[in-house]
Amino acid sequence: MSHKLQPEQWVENYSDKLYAYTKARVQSDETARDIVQDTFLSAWGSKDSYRGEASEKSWLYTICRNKITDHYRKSVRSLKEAGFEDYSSEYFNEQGHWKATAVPKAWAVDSSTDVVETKEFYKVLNECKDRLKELQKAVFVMKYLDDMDSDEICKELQITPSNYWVLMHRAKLQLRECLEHNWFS
Amino acid sequence: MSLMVSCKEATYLASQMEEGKLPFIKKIKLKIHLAGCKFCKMFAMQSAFIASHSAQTEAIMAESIVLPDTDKQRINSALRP
Repeated sequence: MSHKLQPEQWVENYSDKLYAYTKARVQSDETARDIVQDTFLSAWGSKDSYRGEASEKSWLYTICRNKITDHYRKSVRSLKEAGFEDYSSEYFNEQGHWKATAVPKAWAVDSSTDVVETKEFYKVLNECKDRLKELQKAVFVMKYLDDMDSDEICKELQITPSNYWVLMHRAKLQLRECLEHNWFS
Repeated sequence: MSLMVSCKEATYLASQMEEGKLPFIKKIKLKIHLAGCKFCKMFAMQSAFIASHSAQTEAIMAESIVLPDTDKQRINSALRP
């Protein structure tokens, strides 16, 4: 069965969902709003080439996803120009030992227990995730929300494996510290 | 070849192990380090904890996220023949 587009329903049916999807994946709300708007405008512009093979919903998500990837690649280009800054000195001394201010502390829960199965916990985790810089957030989200393999992520972002591991290392250090300060203390 | 790695390197390798991408020799190095370093061991456990709880944030946050009305109106008026 071939699907049909109903552009007059798009905003009502999909705008909040696409906005939530995009907001979870990019750093600023403004960028997310721009991407959602661009998604609908692009979809509108190419509606005549829609063949009805994918559902309207997944067609719109694919367009949105491509916009997000384009946005990531712009960040990758500027990061490559600026170079990766050294982040490790926030956490480690010159010998590579933990700094006293950054040493991990024991958390009240170290395994999955229902103590953290609350909305409040996930809100804090999400806030910490939102504080990550753009590309750290990108690799983290692609890995843990989209469940992609690191090789696929490197291909999509056009980065090297070592770029990926540096971004992930930094993301984990920062998230861990943020959760410790804002939830487990 | 030294089997000793620093905490900085161990925490870097921990993500690779978590994702199943750590070559054998480096895995040995990391395990030796983790056996003797409670801080990095805690880091690795907490990092795995974050990894296993992150996917749920999306659905929980999505419940309360709404695109501003001004954006909706602007888009709607652009989507007219």
